[in-house]
Amino acid sequence: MSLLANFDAMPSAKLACPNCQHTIVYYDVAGSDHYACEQCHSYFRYSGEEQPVVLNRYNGGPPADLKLLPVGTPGSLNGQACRVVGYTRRCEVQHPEYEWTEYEVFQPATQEYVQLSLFNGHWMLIRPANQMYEVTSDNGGYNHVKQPDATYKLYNRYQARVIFAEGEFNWNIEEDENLTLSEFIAPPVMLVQAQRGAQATWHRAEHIEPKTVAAAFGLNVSDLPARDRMGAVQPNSFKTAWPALRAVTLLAVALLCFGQFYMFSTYPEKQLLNQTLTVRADSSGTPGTNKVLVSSSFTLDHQAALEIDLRTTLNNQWLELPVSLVNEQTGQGFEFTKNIEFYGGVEGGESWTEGDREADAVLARVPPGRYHLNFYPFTEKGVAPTIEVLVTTIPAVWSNFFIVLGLVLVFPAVWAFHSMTMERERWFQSDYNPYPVAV
Amino acid sequence: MRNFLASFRLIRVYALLLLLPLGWFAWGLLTNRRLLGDDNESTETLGASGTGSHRSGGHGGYARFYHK
Repeated sequence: MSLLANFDAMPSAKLACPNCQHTIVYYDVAGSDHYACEQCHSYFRYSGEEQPVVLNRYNGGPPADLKLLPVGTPGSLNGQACRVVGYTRRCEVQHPEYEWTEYEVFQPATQEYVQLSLFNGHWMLIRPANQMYEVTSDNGGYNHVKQPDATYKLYNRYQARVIFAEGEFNWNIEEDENLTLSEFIAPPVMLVQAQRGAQATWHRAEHIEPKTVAAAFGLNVSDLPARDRMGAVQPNSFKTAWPALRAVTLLAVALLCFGQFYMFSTYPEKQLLNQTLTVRADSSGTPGTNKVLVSSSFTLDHQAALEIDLRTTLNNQWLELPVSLVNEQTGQGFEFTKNIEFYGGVEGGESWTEGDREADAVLARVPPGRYHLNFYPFTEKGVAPTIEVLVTTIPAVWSNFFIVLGLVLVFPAVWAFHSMTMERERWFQSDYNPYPVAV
Repeated sequence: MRNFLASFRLIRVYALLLLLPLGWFAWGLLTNRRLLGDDNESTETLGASGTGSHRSGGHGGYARFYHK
């Protein structure tokens, strides 16, 4: 038997609006005692015994989303037959610009109600919590509800006013204005405290996707209002995936560290040469040309990357230094050039320096063999600095480590940024925003 | 654990793509390469294999070969 056929068999009753005599069909025959007429928008109480009492009349025009789920629409929520029996449009008393819609959804099988709340395109399914929660405060004065599954943070506290209604209700919706509502969130769940004097009741609201709402009432998702900004309890997909992303990233970083550590422990750094050379002018050449300097020979016993550190005694001088690393057995050569300059002085009572007396180079994939270094220094005329040369093997090039580390971290960094952006957006409309807001 | 597996499904493509930089790193580690910005300017040995085989007709290293 189809769901709609079931609905046909559901009990319903009719009554006449005391103001315009329009026939109102209602479905919670035993429970409903307040009604809002779809014709004249009068709101009245009628429990079947006394004369109907008109309590209010909503003079504002019908809200745009009234026809989204008209009163009487059948549906199926979580596999249970239900029907939209009431519509209310509310606003905050203190900030009337904040409006939202609540659909009263009656489940005949259990005689229970759930509410579908719609705000800025975000839907929540609200049920009675059937339990009390303890609200605690932290040092900053912010309240929260601590539960085993999560800590629910205070998101909003307000009083609500009904600005439009249609359908049937089993309580006086106008009295809700006396309630102070406190919303505590731990997405995708919200705990709502409704406080009247010393008495409080709690509701549990849960985010519900528009496609679920559409499927429940036979609508197209495109019929539903588009989402605006981040919902109060809309799941942050970036945050949901964060535990796995963090674990995978930490594993990758651990592998990188292990690779570096393994190479450094298997092939420790080894100093192959430490020698000081003095630049000497070549009188046969052009001014500034110096004699070629040749280092002592050294032996590299396995293929490795070499770091060559150059430390000079330049003082307000510059040095152009082409360097060749030469394999004495094969003649194979590696080359690099360093321009080293260092200037300094005192100006206006303040000392200053510019440039650096030191330079270094890394030569990768140097095969084993016997090597020496040739230096072809070029300086200003009359400059004769000394050059201290250190050649060291590098078991694993650090720049590789940091480049790949950067690549590994860039995605989680972007992910974390998006996650934080979404959380900031979520809290932007809250009076209890924990994030600093630019003024 | 179920939540973790559910969240892992969201990033499984990233987890697979992560193998690329890790493989690149391992390749550089095992071959003593510098992945970016090698200081070697010699056209003969720039990117050459580590076996150090002698090739005639090269320049750069040979052009400035000098032995004491």
